[in-house]
Amino acid sequence: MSRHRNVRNLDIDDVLDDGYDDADYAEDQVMTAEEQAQMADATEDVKSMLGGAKVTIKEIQDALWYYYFDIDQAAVYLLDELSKKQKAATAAATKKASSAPKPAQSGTVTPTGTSSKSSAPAKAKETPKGLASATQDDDIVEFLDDEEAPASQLQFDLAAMNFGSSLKTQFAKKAAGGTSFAKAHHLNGGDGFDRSGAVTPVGSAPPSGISTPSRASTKMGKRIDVVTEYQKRVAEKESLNLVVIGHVDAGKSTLMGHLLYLQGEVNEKTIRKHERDAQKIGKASFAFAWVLDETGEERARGITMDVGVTKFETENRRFTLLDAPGHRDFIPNMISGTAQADVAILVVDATTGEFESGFDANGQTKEHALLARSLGVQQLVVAVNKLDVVGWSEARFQEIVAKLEQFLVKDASFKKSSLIFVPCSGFTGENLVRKSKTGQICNGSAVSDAPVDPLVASVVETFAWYKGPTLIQTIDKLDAPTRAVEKPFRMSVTDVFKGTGGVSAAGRLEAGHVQIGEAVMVMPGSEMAVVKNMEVNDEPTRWAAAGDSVLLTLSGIDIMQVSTGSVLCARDAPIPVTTHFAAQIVVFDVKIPITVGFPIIMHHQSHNEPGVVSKLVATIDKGTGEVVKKNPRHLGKNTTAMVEIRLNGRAIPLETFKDSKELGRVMLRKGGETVAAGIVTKILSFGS
Amino acid sequence: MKLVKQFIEKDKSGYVTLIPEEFEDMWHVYNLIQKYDQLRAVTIRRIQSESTTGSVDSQRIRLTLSISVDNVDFDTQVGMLRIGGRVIVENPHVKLGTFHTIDLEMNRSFTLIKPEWDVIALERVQEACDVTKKADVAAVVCQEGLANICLLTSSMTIIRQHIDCPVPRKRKGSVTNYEKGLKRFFEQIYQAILRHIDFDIVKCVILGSPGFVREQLYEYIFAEAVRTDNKTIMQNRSKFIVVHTSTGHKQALQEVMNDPAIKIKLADTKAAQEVQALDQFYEMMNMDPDRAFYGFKDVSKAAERGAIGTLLVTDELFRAADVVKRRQYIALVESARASGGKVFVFSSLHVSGENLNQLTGVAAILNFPLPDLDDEEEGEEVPEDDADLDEDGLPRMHSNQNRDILDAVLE
Repeated sequence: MSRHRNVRNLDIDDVLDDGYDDADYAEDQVMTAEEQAQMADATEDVKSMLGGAKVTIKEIQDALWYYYFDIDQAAVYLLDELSKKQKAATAAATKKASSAPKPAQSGTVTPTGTSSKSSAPAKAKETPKGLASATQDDDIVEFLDDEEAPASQLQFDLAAMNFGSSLKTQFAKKAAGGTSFAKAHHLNGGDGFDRSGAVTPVGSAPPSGISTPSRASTKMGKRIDVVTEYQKRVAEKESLNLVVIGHVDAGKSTLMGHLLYLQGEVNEKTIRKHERDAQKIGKASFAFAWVLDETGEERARGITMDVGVTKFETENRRFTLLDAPGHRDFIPNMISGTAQADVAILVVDATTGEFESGFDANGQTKEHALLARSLGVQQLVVAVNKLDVVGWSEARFQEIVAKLEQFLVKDASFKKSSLIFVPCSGFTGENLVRKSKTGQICNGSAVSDAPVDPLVASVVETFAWYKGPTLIQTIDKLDAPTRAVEKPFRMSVTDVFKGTGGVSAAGRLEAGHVQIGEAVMVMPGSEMAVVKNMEVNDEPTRWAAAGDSVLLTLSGIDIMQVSTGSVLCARDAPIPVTTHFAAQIVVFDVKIPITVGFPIIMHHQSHNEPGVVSKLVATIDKGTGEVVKKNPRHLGKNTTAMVEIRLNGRAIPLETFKDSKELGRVMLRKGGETVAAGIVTKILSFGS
Repeated sequence: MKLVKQFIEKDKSGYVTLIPEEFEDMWHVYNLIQKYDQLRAVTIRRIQSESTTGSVDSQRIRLTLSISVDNVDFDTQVGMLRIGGRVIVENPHVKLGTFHTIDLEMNRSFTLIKPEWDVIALERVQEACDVTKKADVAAVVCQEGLANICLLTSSMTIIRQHIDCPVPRKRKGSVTNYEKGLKRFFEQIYQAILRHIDFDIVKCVILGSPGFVREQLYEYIFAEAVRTDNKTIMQNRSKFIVVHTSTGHKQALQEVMNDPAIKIKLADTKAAQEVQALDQFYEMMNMDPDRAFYGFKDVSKAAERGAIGTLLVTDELFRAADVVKRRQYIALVESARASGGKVFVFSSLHVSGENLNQLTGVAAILNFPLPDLDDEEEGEEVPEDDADLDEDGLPRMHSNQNRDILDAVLE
């Protein structure tokens, strides 16, 4: 496929940046820029033709140069060469696989985007030491399909391929498959996306793919048994999506920025730079928040506007962190972030007056908590922030805990056992990762050389009353929800942009799993696309399962076909697309009652769409679920009711709550206030 | 609109000659003309004549025709009004009873003959000819990646352009995509403003959005105007007003009209009053549900008891081809007026009118509570609901079908 890529548009700098080895470069210096681009493409082609075969990039390139980019001839030559030395290679590979570290996902290295010319030294930087040295010693860069496989996977693949027995015949067949495929490809002309070639392998996941290496396996390498891999990964470290919510200026970004710094996700240099720049515009206290608030507008105004996404790890958990905006105007973004989250940290400002204003009717503390609950967040950590300002007063902490607990348990129906309150200070860093001890003060401005503030210095005595866990210890104990890995693949798209080599779509896998090479359907629109590359938490990987925040590179699709709010789904189980559905809603604290024809903005995942409540079916008793009144004239505050909702504009992908807990939730807002939260009970019209 | 001539008999039949002058007038005319009315206007017709040798000769002739109205089409985007019907006055070129479609145009007079000029129709004529109640406002409501460029007149809201331009979100370590996307988005809005907003007519341009998009947009517009040396924009800087809305969807227009700064600009236009009246209705419904009712049945019962303080109806109800139905609503309006109530006829082109349309099209705020009204209708409401659905048959059939499919799938 990549052969048909537009060579003219290939970014040479990019290719070079992507770790163009100096030695390689010197050797290729005779090539013109055009030839280099051609080489990059051709290498990729040969690689995909050779499928799972083990050939160094250098070998390929030499062969290509020899045949001057005749891909078929080069491939045939390489295959011949390969069959000669495959036995030796097999031995080496097995040895390496057993000696290499276990699954270590972080060790996976993918040549990113267009460039396939990532060379050994560049990789070595990223690869764990053991593997790296092995790679260098053997001077063999191995790859399966498009990329180098992680050790665990290699092992798996080796086992699957059953090298020992019928290797020779297999290889012959494979070679035949490879060339025939190449021919087929030639015939196919050059419109970029060979649909049939790319799609078939998915539909017919070959159980016998090993004994009869079909075109599919040649093309895509081995299909991965994601469920098994997933279980392996979970056993190692569970991943969780964590959203940080709370009233504007409660210190969410600062708290998380500081936490990231303390966890070593952000280096000293960056923080120092932020500190300097923040000081310049007179916002010195925002240095940590700048880790997550990256746009100029956000920094200048000192508030988060869009969800900041990053990752960090604790001892037992792997977190994707979503930093939600607190300002009321950005609640749509907050909903988008929270919809992707499993657990939440609610940050409240302990400063006198500030907590109260955030907690009052116009504050966002309550609305955020309610939204989080309605969006399926079960476990909530309340970070009582800025306690340094009130002198680490225990009384103040207890007062806030009492007030919040009453609201969260009674009104937001959180379980008392799944609520944890942690006092801390995002600015000084107290009790985030560790608590100050005598002689070891958690001076948050660890980065600045300013003398320790007396207030901060007194923390050891005044904060002695707190004996509980730190914030990081608390979140380390949170449970991961059960993921619907076995269900059909669903991914809600939160962001779309033009990436290298295709359309990049970011989002969360709501259900099922996906791997490179699979065809997915984009709804609405029913367009097909092929997953070309993927990243989970900024690290390249070959597969992802429910719960992961992923960045997919899709090929064979126009960027216009994918938008925020699209859902990528399995081809054989597409998600319904609708404009009319029935829902069970809980009405919030609304000023005006909901009537028939009530205009609303419906929020679903990252998307919002205007609509109306087209019918009030019945009001329901919250406890028993019995119908209280049929055809009510209006719905007042705190009622539970069955309604029908009709969207004015486009149809959106939607599932019933029964089918998908994540994609079956909707939020109804009007005039900047959340009026109701609901779950989809029935889809009443299909298509747009 | 100019009223050239009006002659109405005691039995309310009669004719009116009007000259529509602007876009909005076409909307008024659309609301005036009904099936079985008679229309006389200058029009162009293609006449075919066959000569003795059999060759066909066709030519276009400008002539005045009278037709009995059969159907009326209105295109809100271009303000085109097409009225079709049978010719009722014979003409040397056109036979009696043949079909003809008249395109009404601005600045061309036409005469409308109605068998019965009711209150609503006469008020409509009056309103349309009143120059003092005019306010042309342009509004751009937006949120990141979505914008609606609209024109607001006293009785119309026209979406001139809907911009949907996805803006990539910020990503860790890179905001260039986001900034580029945002710039492209603003550029599209800027171009739309140039294309759709005529600063000679428009009194003010409202920029509304949540967050800071509006301010960024405002800055962008003038930076761009300076860069491209666009004098019209720069001269009209004072016309731009920035207001807060909670969303960038069309619904936000209602919030725009509720903004105190805009209320002054819109003065006492109908649009602003309508929004207020609807808000009051909802407030009343919350405070005292026994004083706020909607649906024809409830409201007419309240009218019988002389309880109506404010009556809200949409003009769509008066456009109904069903004469009996129309009479019912007119009677309702008249009885509400007789008992001293205020009546607002909402334009269904406004967001507030759309909203009221969804709410059965008629609602009332009562002067005193009628708690028993609620109980009375309880038993009857079910059939009424059904009737509602039957009326537009299609959605009902649709949903039933789908329900069957769904049930089948679930099994």
